[in-house]
Amino acid sequence: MKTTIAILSALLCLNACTTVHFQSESGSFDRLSSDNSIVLLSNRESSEDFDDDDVEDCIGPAMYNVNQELRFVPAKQFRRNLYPYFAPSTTPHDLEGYKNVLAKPEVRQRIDSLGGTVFNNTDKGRDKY
Amino acid sequence: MLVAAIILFPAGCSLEYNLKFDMQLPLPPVVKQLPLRVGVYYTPEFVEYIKKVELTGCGPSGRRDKTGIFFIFPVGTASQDLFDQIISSMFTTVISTSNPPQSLDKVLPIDGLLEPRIESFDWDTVCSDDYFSKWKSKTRVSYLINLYDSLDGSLVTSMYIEGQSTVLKPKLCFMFKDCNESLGVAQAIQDAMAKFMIDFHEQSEVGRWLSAHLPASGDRQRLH
Repeated sequence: MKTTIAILSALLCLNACTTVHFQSESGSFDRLSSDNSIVLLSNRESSEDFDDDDVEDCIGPAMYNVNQELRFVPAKQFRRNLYPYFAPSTTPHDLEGYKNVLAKPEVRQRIDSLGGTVFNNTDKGRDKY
Repeated sequence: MLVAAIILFPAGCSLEYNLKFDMQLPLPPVVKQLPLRVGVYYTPEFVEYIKKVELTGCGPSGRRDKTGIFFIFPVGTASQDLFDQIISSMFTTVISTSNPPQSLDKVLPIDGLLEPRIESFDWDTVCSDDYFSKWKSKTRVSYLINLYDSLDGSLVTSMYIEGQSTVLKPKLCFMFKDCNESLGVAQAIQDAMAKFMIDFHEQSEVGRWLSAHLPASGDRQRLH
């Protein structure tokens, strides 16, 4: 079954779950299906006291409530598989940064080899690689 | 470990852990491989670089307590393990040499020579100021990676890179088990090397070196 990876980045988190600014490569969550896998990534440059687990705990349940078909890829697994991209110092900080990384053929190839598709909001709908 | 600290420290004893880190990457790094032959030279100082750090415990209101427990971090061997893996994915051929760059063997069939050096390594615990002081571990490691041209032995570039990691909820590790993740050292080394892999192609000096050594212009275009 096709897996879809939507990249979501929690960029600025001040105190636990009080303020979360997140940026999405996809549309709204209710348009995602069980074909979609989502990874939630923290941005340690913005707030080092809020790691991937915190982002998952903070946003994950709310997203799941909106759409219970969503599947989550552990951030650790995603970061390992995409190394050297998405290491703490090389994780993009904004949408433009994500677009640049995801546009790289070698990155697309790796995501593809892992059975993935990347949502890219520069195109309408899913952008299959 | 806490119990050990309570028993050991007042008794004036100390405990040393010789740590070992598994630096094996689960998959080859996501990088375009350059059709170049590169040599790698590790100085004895690099390979033998270790750091001994005493574990600091966190008392009430951010008080820092000595524990008498010392971690011995094999930074050199861990860095070498990972550097070997990343350069093997960056270049088609990697040759390990015991000759320093100053005596670069002109007959060695290489395009360049890499010489990584460890600039600094710090590992510490940080205690929060609240009464039930929480602790986290922070690692910072920095390297200087020199690239020499095989044509004349000159230094092409010297890249300073730094890696960091913060473990917010460190778990205590006993006898090497789970130390890999709980101390954050492997992550900091991986972070620095990730930066090296990405920044390498952005150096103008590296661009000129590539132009001089890449086999054909067609290959050059495909790689950029």
